[in-house]
Amino acid sequence: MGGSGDVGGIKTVMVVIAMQAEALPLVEALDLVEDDLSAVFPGGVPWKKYSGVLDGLNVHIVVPGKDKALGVDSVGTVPSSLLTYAAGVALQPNLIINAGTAGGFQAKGANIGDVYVATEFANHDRRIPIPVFDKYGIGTIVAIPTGNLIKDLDLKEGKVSTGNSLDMTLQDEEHIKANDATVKDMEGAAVAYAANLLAIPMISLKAVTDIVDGTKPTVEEFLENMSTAASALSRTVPLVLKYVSGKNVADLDCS
Amino acid sequence: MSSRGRRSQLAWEEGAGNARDRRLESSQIELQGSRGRGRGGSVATLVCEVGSYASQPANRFSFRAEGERSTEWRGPRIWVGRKADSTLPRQLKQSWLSLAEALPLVETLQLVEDEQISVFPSGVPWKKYSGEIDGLDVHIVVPGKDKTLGVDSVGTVPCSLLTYASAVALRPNLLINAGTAGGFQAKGANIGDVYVATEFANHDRRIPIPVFDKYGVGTIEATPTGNLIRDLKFKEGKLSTGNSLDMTLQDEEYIKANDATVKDMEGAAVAYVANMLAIPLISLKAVTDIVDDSKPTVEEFLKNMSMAASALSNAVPLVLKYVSGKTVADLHSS
Repeated sequence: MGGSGDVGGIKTVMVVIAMQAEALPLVEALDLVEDDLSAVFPGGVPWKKYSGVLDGLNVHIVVPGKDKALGVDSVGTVPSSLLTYAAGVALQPNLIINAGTAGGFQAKGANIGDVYVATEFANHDRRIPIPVFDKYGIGTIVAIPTGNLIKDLDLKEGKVSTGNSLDMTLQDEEHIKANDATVKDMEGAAVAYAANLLAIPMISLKAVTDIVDGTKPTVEEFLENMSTAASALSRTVPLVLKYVSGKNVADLDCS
Repeated sequence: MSSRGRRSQLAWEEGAGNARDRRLESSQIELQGSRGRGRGGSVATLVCEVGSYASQPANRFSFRAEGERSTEWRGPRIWVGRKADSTLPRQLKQSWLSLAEALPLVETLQLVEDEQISVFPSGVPWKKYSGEIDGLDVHIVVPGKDKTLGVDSVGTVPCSLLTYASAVALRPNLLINAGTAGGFQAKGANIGDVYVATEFANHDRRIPIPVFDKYGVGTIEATPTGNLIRDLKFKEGKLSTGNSLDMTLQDEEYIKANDATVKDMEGAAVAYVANMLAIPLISLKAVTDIVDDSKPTVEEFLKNMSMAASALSNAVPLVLKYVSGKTVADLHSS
């Protein structure tokens, strides 16, 4: 499925983005066109796809779209993993990029506007206190190594912890700390799970909208900095796309 | 239920169902199996397709089972087996299907996936087993073992992926999610009760922004099944889903706001996919533990697992027989 593009390198990239507001600046920046999905996905799914060619690379941006009942972006692990799976099977990309916003921990060096490459994914809200199931709930997945990419594009790197809540309870905080996370989001580990299931290499880029362990309330800071972070992504993702085009996945790491 | 040594037999009943208009084309049932080590266990999907047998390749649903059944299980079990030849199922005179937790059954019987019809991408741990019940074609699907850790792939993400992939591949007319759950005694739940879920919601997706908050809760109304509930004497109540076996104060607050009678780890995710694909869904949850009593969850759950599994293994075949030949509208008093 997909494969690392060893022959001729990376040719097709699928970018998974949870929120329309995060995706559209990038769609514009890359001059992509929205696709008719009737042949690709079952009727009734709210997902959207935008595609085009960038420097010889086939690029598809997929978003989970608006919730049919409530009209807001279909954030969270279930919609994003479904989208990643279905689009991964349909498009068979050589590489998946998950791009999105996240909270950052200043104790781990995060600042608003930073773009992090995830080195590892884990969940912090799946507590199953039975041996082995406890580890399963956390569901740690190590990212593919991309040391060269991180260095050459001057990105930061850190572990991502995922949960379905925007807020953070004491239990969440305890698990996030145990995950040694620098950034906290709502989809990353689920996209990683689906990519892993399909054996498609994945790079995750997270732009920091708020400082979780700061004094400002999360929601306020998030809404305030959303567009700054979306802009950061719309600059960084094209750089990553150009960087990976034609390379093998192995090239992305320092050997 | 006779034991046939190392080869088990698929069985189903010929009965009144044969005479009815089989407009209910197919249904897909998800069973949550467990090895007694965690709630939810693996998810098995039974897909039942009613249809003209003549148009179905007779060997399409062959599968084989090997091995002795476990003596640990006291409840009824699934008996699955290979059709001896390509004759149509109608030729079997005496039949039944009883259902146990899928995963231990799969292990115990060493069920084998029909390799010729692989509907899933290679590399996924999901498995499908097929058979027939009361004129319905049945597919059992399980999310399988986590590739890294070897435990059942419980929780909303694996379950929703499995539901989506199975539903798209098999195109059922009806989806049934069956599994175990915690129950609230304050809402009248007892251990061993089987509930039909009237509504689904999440309790661990807190997004405190207007409209996103409702989205996180993600309430979905169940397909109305008043006739089924009444005729089969099930209880009914709302289901709240979360990815944790335990329950924090915030979880409890949200579960109460969801007015839930039962609490599980997959239900609302199955409902989300069913809703997205516009496939009617019936969700059956057997209570293994009382959440709002003094006994610790894990202990109670392990103790009552097989009683709840028995209750479920009685309930699911009843539901299959009940729905066979009906339309979804028939399941509800108008």
